Amino acid sequence: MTEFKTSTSKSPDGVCVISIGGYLDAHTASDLERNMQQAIDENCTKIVVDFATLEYISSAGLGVFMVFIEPVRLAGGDIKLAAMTEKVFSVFDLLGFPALFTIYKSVPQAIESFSLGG
Amino acid sequence: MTMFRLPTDSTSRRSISTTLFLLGLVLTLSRMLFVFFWCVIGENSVSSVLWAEILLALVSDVILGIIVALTFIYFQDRISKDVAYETIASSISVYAVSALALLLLAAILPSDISGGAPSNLFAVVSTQLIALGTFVISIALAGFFTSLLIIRRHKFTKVYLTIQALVVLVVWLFYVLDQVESGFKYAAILLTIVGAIVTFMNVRRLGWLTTTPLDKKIRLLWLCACGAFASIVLASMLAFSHDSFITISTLFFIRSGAVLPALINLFGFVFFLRLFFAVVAALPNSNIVDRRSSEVESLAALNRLIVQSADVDQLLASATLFSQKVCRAHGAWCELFEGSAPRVIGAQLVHADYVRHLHTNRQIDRLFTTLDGPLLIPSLRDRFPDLAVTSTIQSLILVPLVANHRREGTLVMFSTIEYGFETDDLRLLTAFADTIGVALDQKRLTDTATEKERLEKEFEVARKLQASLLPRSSPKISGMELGATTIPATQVGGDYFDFLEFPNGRFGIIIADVSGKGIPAAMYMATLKGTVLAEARSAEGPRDLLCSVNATLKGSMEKHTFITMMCAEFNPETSELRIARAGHTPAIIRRESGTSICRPNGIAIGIAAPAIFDSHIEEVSFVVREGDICLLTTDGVNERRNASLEEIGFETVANLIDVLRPASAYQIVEATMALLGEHAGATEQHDDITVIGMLFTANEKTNGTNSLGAVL
Repeated sequence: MTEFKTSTSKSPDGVCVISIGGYLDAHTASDLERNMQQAIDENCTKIVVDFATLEYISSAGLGVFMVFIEPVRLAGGDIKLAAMTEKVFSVFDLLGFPALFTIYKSVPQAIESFSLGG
Repeated sequence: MTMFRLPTDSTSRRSISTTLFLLGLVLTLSRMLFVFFWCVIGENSVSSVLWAEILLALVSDVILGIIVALTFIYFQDRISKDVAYETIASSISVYAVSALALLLLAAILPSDISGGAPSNLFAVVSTQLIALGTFVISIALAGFFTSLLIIRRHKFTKVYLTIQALVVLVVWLFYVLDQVESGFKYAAILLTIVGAIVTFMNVRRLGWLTTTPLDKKIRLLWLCACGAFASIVLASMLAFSHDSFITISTLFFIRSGAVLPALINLFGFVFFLRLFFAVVAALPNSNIVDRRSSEVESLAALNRLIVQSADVDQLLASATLFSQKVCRAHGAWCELFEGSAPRVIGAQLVHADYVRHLHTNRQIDRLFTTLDGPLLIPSLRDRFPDLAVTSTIQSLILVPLVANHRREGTLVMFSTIEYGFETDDLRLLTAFADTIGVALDQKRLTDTATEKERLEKEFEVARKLQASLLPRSSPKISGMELGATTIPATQVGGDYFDFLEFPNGRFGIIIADVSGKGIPAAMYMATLKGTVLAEARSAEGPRDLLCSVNATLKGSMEKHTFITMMCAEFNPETSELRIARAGHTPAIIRRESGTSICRPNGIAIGIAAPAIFDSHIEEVSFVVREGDICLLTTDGVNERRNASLEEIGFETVANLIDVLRPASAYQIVEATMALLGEHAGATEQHDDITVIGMLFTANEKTNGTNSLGAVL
């Protein structure tokens, strides 16, 4: 099992990119939650989550996005998901998440979508 | 020296003693009467006629024998018990007082014996009593001495005692022989010295003195001095003062009778002297012994307190109060690190607020929190010259409380005067803190164990409750057979399935999975069942039911929780199967045309507002025939992992259904479970597993219920 990793970086356009990798489950969800909260506390409401190296996501991991999406949207921002592997995407897809979250093929696309007003 | 055995029961012992005593009394009175008539009335000398002398000597010997026997019985009773300090002290004082009283009595009584015969009745009685007193006191001393030695015996005790007894007898014999041949006197003196040396050697095992407290030692010292004084005066009187009333009386009682008490008292003197010096030698370490014994006593008392305490707080409060008393501190408290401010327990003389106020001082707070060992601050003013907060507390002892290798808090004793504590107090408190730490550990362990037991019971109740929420049998539906099973990963789970009837007469099959595990998931599962049953009364079909459930639950669920759910509806009239899915694991359907995965669009419940949810949900329908199969599962099935963490996957399950030719619906369930077992082996189950098998049959127009055959 690969260890869960998460880090935050800020793009020149003021978009927070939170990268996640490894296994996102009940044990590691709090790490992501902390990162998200930190970004929001720093008034960063344009958030892109980079899924490129994420191998597995459990229901507890999905819960994190559900917790933050409403406050972020109320604050005029959004959480956009990007660069998912096919396997992770299928989990999101099965649950009907694409109806609520916009999912992009790559991180630059997601960042760009903010400046396009999308 | 195994003498005759005494009866073991106290009643017969007492009757023997009483008989002997009465016999002695009768003999003594008879002897007095005889002496009175023979000497006073008849005005004869005792030794004037041989038979009279022999008769009196015999009576005296028997009386002496009775005294020895009574002493023996008395001490035999006590020999089984350990002779404690109290017994020794009281025995010595009884001896010393009675010996000195006897000497005093003998000194003031007129000696009215002339020419070997008492001159009046008073002299007859007094000489007899003084003689008896001397023998009783001396023999009792010998008895006490012997029993003391035997109880704390060593290898040579019995040999030495035998030598001493022989010395007494031989010296007595020599003394008698000396009247015939004068040389025996020197042999007797030599033997007496030998006897004294043996006595000295025989008194050993005085180790108990070391642990005797100082005040008791000093009392013993006085008693030994008194005993030594009484015994040496008595011994020298009997040995050297030939015209003293005591000597005359004993000699009048038995010829050469003064030798026995004189020797015994001499040996007694040696014994007292030996004990005296042993006590003197043991005096210097008394302070240490006293302190140690009081420490041990107070630790034992602390342990008793701890055992009686019901909880951690009570334990700490009573331990603090106890420590304060033992250290004679003016005030005390115990504080535990909890959160930012310390929690104060059992504060004495100070208020908890005051202690918290103390902590607002940075220097003091740092002192308390960084304490790495017991600390005595003799003067707070010297240590913190610029400290203005306190006038009450002048000297302090701080002892860290450590439980489970973790610093838990501090035990604090304070005095209102400077230099109010000694380093000994610090040492004692350190011992207390260790004991309290261990007790804290134990208390917490017990509490955890009790809590665990309680939780286990509650889990069991929850498990039964949840099992009762799931159907035990399936309705008998014309054209369809049902089989189902659910296995939670922990005792309770978040999987749910149900069978119900829609108002339009069609049958509904529900399967759902609450995100998360354990008790929270189980609570949502129960809520879900209530909602489903309520909404099903007015729902028109699967899609409608899922929309209503989402609309009801969306607002009331925690943000991170969601429920995936699938609803299938079977119409027996038309053999039509309609399915709607709210983010749930797809169904697998095998029909004549082949096996397919049924995955209509839909969002999980609790994620999206009704407007979005309703617009995304689809409903699909099929017409089924005899032999067709539909399998509903939760994600615990397709995500079941083996030892190398590989999921079984959806394809494998679909392939099984494709080739399965079940005889009953439950065989579908069994085959699926067998497939999972084959894949996972003994690997731990991480998620709840639920399987529902539907087998479509030829229409039979019957109603009723079937056993579900489910393992719940």
